[in-house]
Amino acid sequence: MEDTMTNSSQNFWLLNKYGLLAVSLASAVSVNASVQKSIEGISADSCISIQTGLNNTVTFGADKTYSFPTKKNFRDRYKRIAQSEWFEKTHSGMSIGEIITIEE
Amino acid sequence: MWVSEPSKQITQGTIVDGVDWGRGENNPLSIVISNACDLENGKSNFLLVAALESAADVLQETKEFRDKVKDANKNKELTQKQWKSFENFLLNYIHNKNICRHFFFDPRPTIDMDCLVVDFQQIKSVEMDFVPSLSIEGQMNHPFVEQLMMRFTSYTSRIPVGRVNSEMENIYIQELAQGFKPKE
Repeated sequence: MEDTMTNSSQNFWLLNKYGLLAVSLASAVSVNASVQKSIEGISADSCISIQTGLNNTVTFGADKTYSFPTKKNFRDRYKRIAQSEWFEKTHSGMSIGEIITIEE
Repeated sequence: MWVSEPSKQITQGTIVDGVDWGRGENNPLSIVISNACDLENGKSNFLLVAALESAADVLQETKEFRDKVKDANKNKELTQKQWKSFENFLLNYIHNKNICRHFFFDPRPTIDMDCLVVDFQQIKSVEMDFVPSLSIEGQMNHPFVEQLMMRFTSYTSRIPVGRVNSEMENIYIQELAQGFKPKE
């Protein structure tokens, strides 16, 4: 099982995806347990560690370590922008301007 | 795909974070609209950027969007005709077929954010000394950068022209319609 997981890029991306999701949701320093529980098809006893920071490190088993950059989550910021007084004043009921259609 | 992973160099179409738009923690992302060769040859003292706003949030606030959905029922349902008109409006917006205030693009998966628009009315000049402190988040791909710049220049340089009145419009329609007319 460990070899299969280590060599499987599909599982790696699955882990990557869920790992990022867990990191962005929890903003936790260590999310080992939640990641292990949330990933279907990956053995719970396999060694997985994720660290937050500028780079995430994912370890499969004892000898495989992958690093990938953490992506900033801009959704919260844009949610705040949309709820701000400034946004209401700037965009509410405003026209997007004269619409000139271009055929290409 | 509109946006790819950035290189370390800032050029036209680079998406950056850290420009101070005077909104504190709510500063939006920005996209570089300075001429690429000016940046490459060190001829720029300033970096020109435009603000990026959330497409869905901005669009739903616009007069045009509201006009399209104003007759919807309480379940947000539109008649077939209304929906078609609304859908066409959205399709033109998505494909940037119109010259208007916004340029639509999807920054995913490079940037973790829903669809964005470049707001041609929010332009800022950033001193080059400040540029190293910006964080580079993505790079708009070709030919979308060129399409963006074309829309930007068309938007800012469009010339207002007075339209003929409706009476003259009807005369021209008759002249061009070659006898075709709506069914009574």
